[in-house]
Amino acid sequence: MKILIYADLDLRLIDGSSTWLASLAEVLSAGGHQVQLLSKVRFSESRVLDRLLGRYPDIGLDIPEEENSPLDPNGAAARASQLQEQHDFDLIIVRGFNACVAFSKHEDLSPNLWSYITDLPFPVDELSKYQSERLEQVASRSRRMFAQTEAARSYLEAVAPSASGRTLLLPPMVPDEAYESDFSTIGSGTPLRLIYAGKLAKQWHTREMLALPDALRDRGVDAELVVVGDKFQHDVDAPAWVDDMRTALIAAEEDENSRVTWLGGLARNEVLKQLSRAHIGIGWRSSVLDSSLEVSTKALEYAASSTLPLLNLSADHLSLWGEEYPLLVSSEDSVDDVADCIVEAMPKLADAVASARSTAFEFSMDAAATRLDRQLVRSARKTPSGCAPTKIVISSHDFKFLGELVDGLKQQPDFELAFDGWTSLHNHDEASSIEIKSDADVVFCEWAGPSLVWHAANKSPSTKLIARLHGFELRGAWLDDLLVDAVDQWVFVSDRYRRMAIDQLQLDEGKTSIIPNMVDADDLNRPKLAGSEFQLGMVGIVGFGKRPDRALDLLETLLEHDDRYMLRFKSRPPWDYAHEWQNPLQRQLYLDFYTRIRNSELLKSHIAFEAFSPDIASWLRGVGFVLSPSHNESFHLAPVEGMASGAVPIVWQREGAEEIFGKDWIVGDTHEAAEKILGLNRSFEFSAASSRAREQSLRWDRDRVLQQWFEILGEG
Amino acid sequence: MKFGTLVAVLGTIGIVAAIVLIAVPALGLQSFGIAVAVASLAGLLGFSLLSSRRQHRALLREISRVDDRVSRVEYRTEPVHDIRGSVAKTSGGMREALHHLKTLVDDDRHSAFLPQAQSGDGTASSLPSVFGPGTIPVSPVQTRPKMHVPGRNAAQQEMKVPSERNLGYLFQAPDAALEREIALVGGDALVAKLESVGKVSLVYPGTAVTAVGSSTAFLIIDLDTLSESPWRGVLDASGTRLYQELHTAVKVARKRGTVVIVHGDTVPTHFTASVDKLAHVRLNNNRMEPAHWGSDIHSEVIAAMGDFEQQKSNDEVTPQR
Repeated sequence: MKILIYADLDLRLIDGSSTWLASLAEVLSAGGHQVQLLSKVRFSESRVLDRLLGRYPDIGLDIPEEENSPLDPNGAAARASQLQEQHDFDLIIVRGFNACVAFSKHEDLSPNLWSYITDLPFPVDELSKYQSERLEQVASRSRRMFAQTEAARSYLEAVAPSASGRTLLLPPMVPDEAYESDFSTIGSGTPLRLIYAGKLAKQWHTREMLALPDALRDRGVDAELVVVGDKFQHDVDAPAWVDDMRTALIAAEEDENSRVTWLGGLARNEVLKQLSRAHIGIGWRSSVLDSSLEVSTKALEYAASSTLPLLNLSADHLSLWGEEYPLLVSSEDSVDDVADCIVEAMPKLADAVASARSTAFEFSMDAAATRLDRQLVRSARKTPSGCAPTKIVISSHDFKFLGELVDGLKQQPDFELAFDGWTSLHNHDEASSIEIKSDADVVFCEWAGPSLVWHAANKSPSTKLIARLHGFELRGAWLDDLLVDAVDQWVFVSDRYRRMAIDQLQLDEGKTSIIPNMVDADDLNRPKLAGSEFQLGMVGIVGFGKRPDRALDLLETLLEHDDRYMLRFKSRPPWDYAHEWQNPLQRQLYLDFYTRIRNSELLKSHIAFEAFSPDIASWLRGVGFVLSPSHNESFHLAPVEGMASGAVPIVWQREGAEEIFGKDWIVGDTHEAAEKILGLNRSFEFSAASSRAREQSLRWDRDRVLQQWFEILGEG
Repeated sequence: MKFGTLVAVLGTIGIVAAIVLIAVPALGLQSFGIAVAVASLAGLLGFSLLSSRRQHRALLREISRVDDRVSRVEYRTEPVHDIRGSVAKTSGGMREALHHLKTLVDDDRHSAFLPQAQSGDGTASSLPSVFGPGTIPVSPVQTRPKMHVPGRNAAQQEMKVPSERNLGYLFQAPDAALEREIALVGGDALVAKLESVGKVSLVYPGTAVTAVGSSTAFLIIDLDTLSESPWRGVLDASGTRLYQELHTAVKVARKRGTVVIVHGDTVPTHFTASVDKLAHVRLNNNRMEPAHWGSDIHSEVIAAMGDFEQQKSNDEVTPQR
């Protein structure tokens, strides 16, 4: 693949950002891709690129012509546009919010744009409406987005809804040479070696840590501290801090008894060498940084070098390094507290190294290459075959089940996509429909509604007409007017509905296919949050056939046994749908449902109503059991998405359910549902059931299902 | 004269001399000429290499100087960054204040939804029942996504008023607002059971249309007891006038959004089919029709009527034993 990379940074400087750029280019080049770097600044020497270009001389480099005028975001986008014309890149990776905004405005760049916004406005009180709109603009126009961590992905998807389903993880990459050293033993003449490498800043407690060797000596531990770095960060709240820090460092360096060595700034390989000699790397920071969305690359480098990072206790650190990790301190701790923690951890250090290194291996270049390769294969635009593309017109009033299909078709240059959008089930602009379909090879009607009736009546002999029937259409009076023979292919989401349609419409079975709904299993496959095995989730409660009342029955039964169970509804309320709310009986059923909760303290304190939003994959991280209590469904995508996320589906018996979900997840009634959930948790089999559900969901993964669509659509 | 210029002049002279010696064979110094030429060229090349190394070193020195300057500029502009931080904090504070104001306005708007709870005659009974057909309104849609938005984003829509408003009311309204109003056409057999789930009022001929009010949630026609009530004969052609009144009242109630339940059974007569057509739900012998959403749906009123039927059938069985 031909890949252009632009990062809004100065390649003359060595820092985390420029190192990231070099690492990404290296990983992609090693994977056999043709990489072109677009530099923001003109330079004759870049230490960060020298090593890279030495190893991968084929990497192209485009630098600005003007010495003193670095590219601004718009200038960079304009230059990228020229390069795109010359090279026809398959992928354009851009880092930096402003640069992503500028690139997303170019129609020639945005179809292949993969945006990486590291400078996300965070937390939400930093997110103005203007920035929010810009984020949404980038998300909606980019082919894919990157996020460094699960936390960053969840936040991005929540604040920019279009990022949902198209945001991939791009964790930090630790260079291979960092993994070359082993843990050196402590004792018998070898002191405990502490190291800090990075900028000298108040928030990083660099002043306090100078006292650690003394504090450890007081506790009988022979220790020394090496400080690497020469950048002092000014602190607005403590203007004298920099001077104080510098004086303290110099004094400690000059005092032979301090056991502190200040090496100043070092080249990267020298830093790695120093890391490899140390036992503990200090990452003790101010509480302000505890809420960061990012993982510390420095801590990963420490761990890769067999140097155990000493970190702040935070939920993200517990999740990454494990509940048993011994070197976690509080930001508010004193030097004595930190020394106590180190002393307590001493017997566990050797064991902890293996586990920390294995954590760091997930961030190795090899791991990154494997991850990126899979992401590129699944998401990047494919190479055209050279044949004339097949023009497909999708006709529909509601595109909500078409997310993955449209995305997959856009990936295929052999298909040209156009839309015949109906304003409602029954209404459209006829002149526009006639024009759009005039040169179509295939017309695909997403619903067997009035649009299918119209396209069948107005079909050209050279056009193939394909229809998908979801279920409700079988009750539509419009089917009486349908020229059934004009439809070349019928697609159903389940065999049950195929059989019903064949009977009702007298269809030729040879013209029918079953293609299930699909999910992006990779996107949904995210780590579960702690305690999710007690969280029940139900997506969509309107109309009443979804049977939210059964979910209440289930919760009540579960709470008789264990009060940790919670029920989360992710749905619009019924009064958001006028046609549903105006049904008198249905309205009363919902009012009973809500007042039942209101009148029960037990239910009220164990139920959460959460508004509809597209970031369902992020939401499902907290859900262990996904409920499908519906009375009737033609497919039911929500539990399938839940399964792909690793949630265990609980599907109430109904016609056609077994055909889709198999016997394992079907329950006869609420009592059986409760028994199943309690049983799995009682016998600690939740995790195994979760894996089984996830594995089963792969049959609905986009890559597999899209292939079936391509076969049908490609025959046009 | 600079050393570089001197070397260039000497080199040029050497090359010219060599050309002359090689070009004039009569002098017999061609070999010497070649040697001079090679020496001159080597000298020039060597000097050029030395000179470019010197320039390179100068360039590196210059880069280093620029680096230093950049560092100094960075150091000196740190206070500017800090000021930017302070500005961000201040604007953060202003945003917070704005947010607070907005919350106050929103709270006002929210309470505006509950005027019934705060005005009227101030008594709890003046509150409209949440079960009244018009009490909890539809949330009007403000914007929907443009056409062709595929996937979950297709379902994104902005509402004119927050959807949570209705939920808030349902959960926070005074208990008095939770009473269902049930209108019953027929005898009083069902009354006791229905009173466990709402306030029951019997509907009498002559006042039917006004008796079924705008806050009536359910209108129940009990076929089993019609003949024991003033509605006796309503389903017979001889009671057409009576049936017309009932029919009108039911139609008006349906239009308002009241649920119409026809309960029980009777010997078929002239208007039994017609009255069945008026029903949203048909209940008989604990069977519900239609059962679009399953027969086990959780409805307080239907469950109460189910209990009644169960009790009745138990009562019928017990004497036989």
